[in-house]
Amino acid sequence: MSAKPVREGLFVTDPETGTASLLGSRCAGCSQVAFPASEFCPYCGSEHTQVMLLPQEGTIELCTVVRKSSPNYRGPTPYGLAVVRLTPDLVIIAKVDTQQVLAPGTAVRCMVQAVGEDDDGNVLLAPCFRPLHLQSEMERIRVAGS
Amino acid sequence: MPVYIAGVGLHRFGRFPNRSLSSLGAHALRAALEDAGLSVASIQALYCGTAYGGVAAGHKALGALGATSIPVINVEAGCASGAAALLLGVLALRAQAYECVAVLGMEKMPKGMIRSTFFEPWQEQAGLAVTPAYFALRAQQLLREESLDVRDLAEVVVKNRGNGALNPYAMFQSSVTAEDVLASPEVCEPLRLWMLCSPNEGAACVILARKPPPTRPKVRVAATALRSHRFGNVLGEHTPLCGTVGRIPPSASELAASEAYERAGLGPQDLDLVECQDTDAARELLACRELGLYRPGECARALREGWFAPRGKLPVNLSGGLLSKGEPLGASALGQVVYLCWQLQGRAPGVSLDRCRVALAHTVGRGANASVTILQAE
Ligand SMILES: [Zn+2]
Repeated sequence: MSAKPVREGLFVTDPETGTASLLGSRCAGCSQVAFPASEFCPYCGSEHTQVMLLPQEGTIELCTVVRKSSPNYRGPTPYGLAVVRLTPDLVIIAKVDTQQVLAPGTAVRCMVQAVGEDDDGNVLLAPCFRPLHLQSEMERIRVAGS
Repeated sequence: MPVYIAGVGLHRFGRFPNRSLSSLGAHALRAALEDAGLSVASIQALYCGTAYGGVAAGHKALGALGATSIPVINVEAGCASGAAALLLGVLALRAQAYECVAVLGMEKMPKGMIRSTFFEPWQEQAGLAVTPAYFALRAQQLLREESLDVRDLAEVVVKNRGNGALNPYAMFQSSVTAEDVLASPEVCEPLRLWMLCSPNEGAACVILARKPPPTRPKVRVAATALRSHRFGNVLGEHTPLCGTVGRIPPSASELAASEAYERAGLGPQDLDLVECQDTDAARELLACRELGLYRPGECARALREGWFAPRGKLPVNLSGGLLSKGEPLGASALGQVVYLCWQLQGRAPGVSLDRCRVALAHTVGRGANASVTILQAE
């Protein structure tokens, strides 16, 4: 049994910090950035795209809370679903580690979360953004406990 | 080249465990033929919209009336499937390929949270395949842009359920209070359960002809437009995972509306009645903006002054909307057309408008697909 991402090429992790970077793609033609990374540009149809690391940190634009599991989802509930702004030009839809609606402007960082197992018993990993204030709180607790 | 509505028929929307999809469709088709005073032999082609109906759904429905060997074309365009079928029928008549065609929409929706094939399996596993959450994010954006609050959403439900209470074809025929709506279970903030329409079953049929019907007030299809999306809006109905900021392209609904207005030579100021996509309460208010029924930033005023109320300056979803009727995907667009035709001919059940000359139907959903149809009484 091992861990694997819900989709290859969705993100890369930093084992040191436990943080993750989502993988996007930039179009060589129109320079638009798409997420997830794609062989073609959804804006202009160009096949000249290059995979790139997206910023780990962003801010909440809009956020709601999902209370019930949906079909095939075996991760924890409730959780947030949000529009997260990663760059001045790029917003993405992302899962957020929260049980309440987060205010616009809340800073979040991309982490990886276990969301159950596949049929072969592999732990499935999916990106999940965590509010920075929550994260620094947890680090403080960790430091205090050690 | 005008295209007229020769007859309309409906199988009411609801849950009918003992009726097959074909029998729902056949019921609407028979009703429309009877309304038109025509036999099935008069129909030269059948266009059938359905999203979940499977292979040859229209053929099976027609078979219940005696298979006549005409061309049958089954169409899928999400929530706009019925409108896509209507577009094909209208185009065929305008091209003078036929004199008379039938356009049918029908559906039996799966129960519970719909496991849409639209999302990929990894999106389901990652917790990203939650349709009401996307509705909720869109609702939050609208509330922010238009300075509204959750109570304004509840009032949309109150209006539509009040209208539905008077429509014998509605699934829910009882009015509700804003308190009831706000007290219903929270689905995804700000949406409460009663702010979302129920997927269900039903069928609607429209007979189109190049000659107007001899015995009924003349209603013609002034325009019908079907558009898909452009990429860039993170909250678009194509449900992407990314989008841009600041340079958002026009939505599929906006594109369909401007095309339909241009083709009809009419504008929002000419409308007497609108049926629009109220999958959730916020979606109705967004649709009204996309259709140009109020200017951006003007929604709060429109609601305060009751523009879209049954006695307002432009009633919206006088049938009760999807919030009262439920949403059988393939049938919902044609259900709107049937209802608007009744209003234009002065024979609508429930609330009947004193003056109704021009009416607009709008749907939008997965794909993305959006349709706008404008009907005009002559
Ligand atoms: Zn491009």
